Amino acid sequence: MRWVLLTLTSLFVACSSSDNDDSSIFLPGDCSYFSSGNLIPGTGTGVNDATLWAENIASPFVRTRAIAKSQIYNPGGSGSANGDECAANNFNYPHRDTFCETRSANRDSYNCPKRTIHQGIDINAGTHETCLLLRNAKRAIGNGAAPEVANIIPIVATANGRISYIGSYTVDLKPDDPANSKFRYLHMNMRTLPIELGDFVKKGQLIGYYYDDFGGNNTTFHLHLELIAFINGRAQYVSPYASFIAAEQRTNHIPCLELG
Amino acid sequence: MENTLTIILKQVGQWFRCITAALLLSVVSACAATQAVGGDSQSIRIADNSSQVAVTKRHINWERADADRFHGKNTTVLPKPLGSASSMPSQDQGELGSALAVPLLLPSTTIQTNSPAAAELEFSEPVILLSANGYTAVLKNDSIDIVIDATDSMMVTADHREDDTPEDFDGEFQLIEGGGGGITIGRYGALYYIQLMCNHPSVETCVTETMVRDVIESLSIAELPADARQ
Repeated sequence: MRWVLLTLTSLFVACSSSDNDDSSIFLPGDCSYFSSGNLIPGTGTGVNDATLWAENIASPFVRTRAIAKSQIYNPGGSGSANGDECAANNFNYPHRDTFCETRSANRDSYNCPKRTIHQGIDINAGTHETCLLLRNAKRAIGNGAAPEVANIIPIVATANGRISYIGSYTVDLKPDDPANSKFRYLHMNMRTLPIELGDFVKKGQLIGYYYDDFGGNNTTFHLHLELIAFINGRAQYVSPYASFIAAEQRTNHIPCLELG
Repeated sequence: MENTLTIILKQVGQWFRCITAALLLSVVSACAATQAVGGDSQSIRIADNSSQVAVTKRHINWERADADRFHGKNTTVLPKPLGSASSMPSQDQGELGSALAVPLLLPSTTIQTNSPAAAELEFSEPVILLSANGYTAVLKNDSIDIVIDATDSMMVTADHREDDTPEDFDGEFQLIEGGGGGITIGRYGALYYIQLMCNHPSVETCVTETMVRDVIESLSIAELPADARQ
């Protein structure tokens, strides 16, 4: 049965993308993902939570290749021997969960087995080439160019809602639907945000650009995405991974293969 | 005739490519799946509980909130909230809550803390964003912001007991990704997530549990101006 499903899915992917327009950056058939909770071995204990804590959301990236990946344990991260955040492999499928990935600080969540954890997922967007463009733009900004030169990859609202907080490296989006958790976006280009505190936004509306802001410090270029929900009387950090994978497939019309 | 033959051959060629691609992909994905299952990744399986999670409304004790305000528990009158809420609550909310889904609790703009990290914190006047099920209040400071998310709604799982979430409670302190900390509290039946957000994340300990509890200690019931209570 599994073979039949795999073959049918592959056939659909291989054939349905034949009339994609030329501007598509998605390669037919290459989208795949590891299951929720399947972290890089040795980087923590994940939780296999397939719950769509935020249903029917849009991907924060539209028509841009976006891969959930570990920001720490892949090239450019502090846990990797390879220091090049623009390494091509950082932009290749499969998606991999990082919710519950090990951190030193004592942070809680709804269902991670431990408390010293990563409270969201990290997403790399674009390609090796766009990463190099961003790196050059960052250098140019350091030399006095306007911060807008780094506005290469747009990030959009995942749902209709309201911008409820803008910090030094954080933007909160509170959805209209109380069943949807609050979204927290970290590390956008904070000096060029097209939104203000209190703005009402529509699902898919531009709210910022992919960057590496971290309150005056640097991190790697990535989007850190969180979901915070009131569950059983407490504000809890829940896994955005399954919701993100579903949104990626829905928003960008790319069926993805689950690898287990 | 020759053209028709060419078209047929092209069609067959396309289907051949599709089928070959599909078979190759199936083999690759099957191998990858086998490898993943046999790998040493750790994860704990939980049931897909999407069908068991429901959104419920909390009962808000407006009588008690109005009484607390009447007895002068540091009531303040605020500037008009920023923008307008997309929809206003319709339930009977008592005198205090005519434009609010939950009692409007706000901290003092000057927080005296027992924390060695900061003895006194000065914040901006709050910006209040109303919504159909609560509000968000934001108070700014150069190094730390206060964000309060308040709601009358929550998700409940099948194993949740009503006793687990009383009208009033103080939850546990938890650190926040990138720097900061927060505590969920219950007051008058409503839920409030009190967060202190660090603006300079290199200072990992910019927020302590004591500071968050000092902010909670300073909370008082606030009142909206008459023109915001329609």
